[in-house]
Amino acid sequence: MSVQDIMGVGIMVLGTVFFLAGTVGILRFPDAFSRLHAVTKADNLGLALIALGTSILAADGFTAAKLFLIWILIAVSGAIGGHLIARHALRDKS
Amino acid sequence: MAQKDKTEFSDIAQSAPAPDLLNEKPALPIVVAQPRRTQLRRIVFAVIVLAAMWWMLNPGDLFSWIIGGPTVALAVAAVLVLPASAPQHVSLSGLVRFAFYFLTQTVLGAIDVALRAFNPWHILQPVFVTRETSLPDGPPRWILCNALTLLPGSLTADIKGASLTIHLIDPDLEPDLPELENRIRDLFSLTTLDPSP
Repeated sequence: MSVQDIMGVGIMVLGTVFFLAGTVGILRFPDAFSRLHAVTKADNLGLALIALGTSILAADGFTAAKLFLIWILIAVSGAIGGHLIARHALRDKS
Repeated sequence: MAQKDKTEFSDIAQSAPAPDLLNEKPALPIVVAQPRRTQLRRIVFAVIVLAAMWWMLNPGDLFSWIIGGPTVALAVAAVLVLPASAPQHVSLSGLVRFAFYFLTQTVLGAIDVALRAFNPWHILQPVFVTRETSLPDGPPRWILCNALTLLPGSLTADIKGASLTIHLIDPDLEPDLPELENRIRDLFSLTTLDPSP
């Protein structure tokens, strides 16, 4: 295993830790809003780390740019989706 | 002569919009109100950006356009139905500064929420707060909402005009709203209200 492999896999493992944190948060946190904190923030960083690790393993500029695009699209849709769910939950409550 | 010109002008003014209103299906007012050239520019821009994205995700795969073509067309239609935002000037150096700040804050936010999730003794005491934003309506305010959602401890739950309902995972994690607003002003080359950075 080269240094590049170790770095890539290491970053991806760290990414899965954040995905796990997001899932634990969904199960543990008391209400819909707090759960959204866990999903939007932790999963977003988890995906960023997995994309970064994959880019390091791929060692290819185009693949890296593609993974970056995927991350941006999911980060934006995650933030907007989280906001829409929160708004709906809030208006339902009141 | 002047009388005649005036009559012609008012004739044109009255007759021009009439066929649209009578013959076309009722569209959203924002689409009708837009000048044709701006509409065309929006269509071309949307097609180029969306097609480039699709190509990037499926490079060299011609058959993928069986899905990609209709998807791009639907997305362009969605762009046209949604109201156009006021034109914004995005500063490139401001974008770099904002991206760096945003990335750092995103990482901090994720670490914070991960620690709370994994800590078995941590009991959440979430609260709602209402804050007024001084940012103008449109992209600056949307960026603020979405940035707040990814910042440590805060989530934009609702927005009504300039009033934001923010959900805080912990009452101590009040976001530094003026700082974030100033960074968004920097991004859009808007005048900074508070001179302190």
